[in-house]
Amino acid sequence: MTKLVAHKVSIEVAGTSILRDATVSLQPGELVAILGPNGAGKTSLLRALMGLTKTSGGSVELDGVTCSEMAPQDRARLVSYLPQHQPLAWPNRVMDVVALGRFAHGAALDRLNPEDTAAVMNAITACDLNKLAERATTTLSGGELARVHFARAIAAQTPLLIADEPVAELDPRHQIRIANLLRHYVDDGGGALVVLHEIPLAARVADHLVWMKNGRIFAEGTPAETLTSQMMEDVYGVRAHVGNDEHGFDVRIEGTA
Amino acid sequence: MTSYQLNLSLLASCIVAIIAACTLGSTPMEFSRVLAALFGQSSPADIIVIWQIRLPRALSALAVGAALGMSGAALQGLLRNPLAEPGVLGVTATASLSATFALYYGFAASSPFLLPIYSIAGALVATGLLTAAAIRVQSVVTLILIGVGLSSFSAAAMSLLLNLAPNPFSLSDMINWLLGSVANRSFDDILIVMPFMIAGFGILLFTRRGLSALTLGEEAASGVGLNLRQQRIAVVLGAGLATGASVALAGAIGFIGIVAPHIVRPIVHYDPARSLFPSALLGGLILVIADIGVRLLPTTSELKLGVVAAIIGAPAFIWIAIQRRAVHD
Repeated sequence: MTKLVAHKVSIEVAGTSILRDATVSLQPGELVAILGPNGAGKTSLLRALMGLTKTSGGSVELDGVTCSEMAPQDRARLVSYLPQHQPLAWPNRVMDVVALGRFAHGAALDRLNPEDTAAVMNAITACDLNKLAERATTTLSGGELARVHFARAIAAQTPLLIADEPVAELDPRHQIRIANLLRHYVDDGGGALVVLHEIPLAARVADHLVWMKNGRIFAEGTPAETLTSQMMEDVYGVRAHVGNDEHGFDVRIEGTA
Repeated sequence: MTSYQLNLSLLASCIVAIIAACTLGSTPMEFSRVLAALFGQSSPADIIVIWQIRLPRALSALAVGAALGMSGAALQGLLRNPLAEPGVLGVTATASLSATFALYYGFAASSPFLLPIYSIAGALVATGLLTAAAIRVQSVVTLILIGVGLSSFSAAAMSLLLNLAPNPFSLSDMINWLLGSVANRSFDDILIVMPFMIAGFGILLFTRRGLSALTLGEEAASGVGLNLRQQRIAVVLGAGLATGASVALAGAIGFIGIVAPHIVRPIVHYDPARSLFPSALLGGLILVIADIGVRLLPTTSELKLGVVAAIIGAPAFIWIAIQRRAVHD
């Protein structure tokens, strides 16, 4: 089973510590959500997990191999990565963008083998993009574009997925759609590590919450264990009422602490 | 239209344009005479006109246009901007400065390979500088400004060389480099630059998958498994070789690398990988046709090809820049 393990990872940029002694792991079958205020080091942690940034201490290993030393293509066959949304350079076709998810498998857009084509079509269907497949990405709404990026990530058919704020700037309905897609991915045997700012959504969909603050992992555990008024105050600095009933978690922010 | 059909029709157009370039000229020859001369079944005068004047000239225009078209398409893919191009980024100017330098000091006389090597070295210095900047800054405006700086510097250094030119003969030689022309090129001239140009084409075609991936942005492109460092080096090297070789053959010719990919891109659904080959063919086609125009215009002294390319290309550049402001950014 593919396993991504970060042990006591630290990152320093120009003498300032932005991540300290972070230890997390990810394996298939679990959905881990990373929570925390802006500047807590969430994105830096993800980039360290992908081997995309220089670390000043600790180790990140993917199946026992140091992540930053792996060939990018080998790593990309095991972990797919959705960074925060960046505009596409060109008004490409939706199906071409999804097909880029097959890059690590050696696919070129003009030469998709039957396996690549099947993976792309599955991803397009799973993300409900069939009607948009021929459209230019510039003609899509933010929610549609988020689905295209998600489809690109799952077309890679990797055992693990890392996503940085995949529901940022989406309306509630699209947030839920992406969250459900994440859940499906995990229920189908994938492992996902996701940065989220929508706390009730994270609590509803994730198995495990990692709370970050000031470059450190502050606490972690199941939503029921860790999502409390005290945690909201400690991590985000807000007074919040946290309710938990059969419909899920309810977080009502009342003001700054 | 699929990429395959596009490539095929562009290839056919190039062949027609080259035959047209052989038939048209100060003494027009009908098609059958050209064909006979091509296969050596004609009067010696005809054979000389075709094999030593018109055909090498047309093929030079084709090769130069192809090199600039493909380099433009590849640089645009790497920098994710439709305004990137060897001319605008100052690569052709730097290459032609370096070539002029070699001519001026007579280095070029010692071996026929030195001229292309000098102009390629110039092109690589410019592309290397641009890529080093591209790693640190995200803004393409900065890169284009660096290009403006490189062009201005090269133009100034070139003026200096022109001022100091020892005799009128070397002066007109240098002006040829500055303005760009394929007049009086021989098959030997083409053969000397060909290895460099072919190497450039090969490297650029090798990078095409990575150019597609870069559509996603650099972060996501490395996420899908692209080795960014390798990709940057390969595109710079490929574009430097191809552009440098084209400058060695024809001097500085600008804007082809912008116009050709811009026309091709919508047809290939904006995929940088699919645009490489058709951009090369279209760039070649445009220059062959422009060079026919240059030869046919009844002017007292022949217009320079680079001047014509800029007269067509510079307004196109401005138009693309204005369009882009309206849509993106």
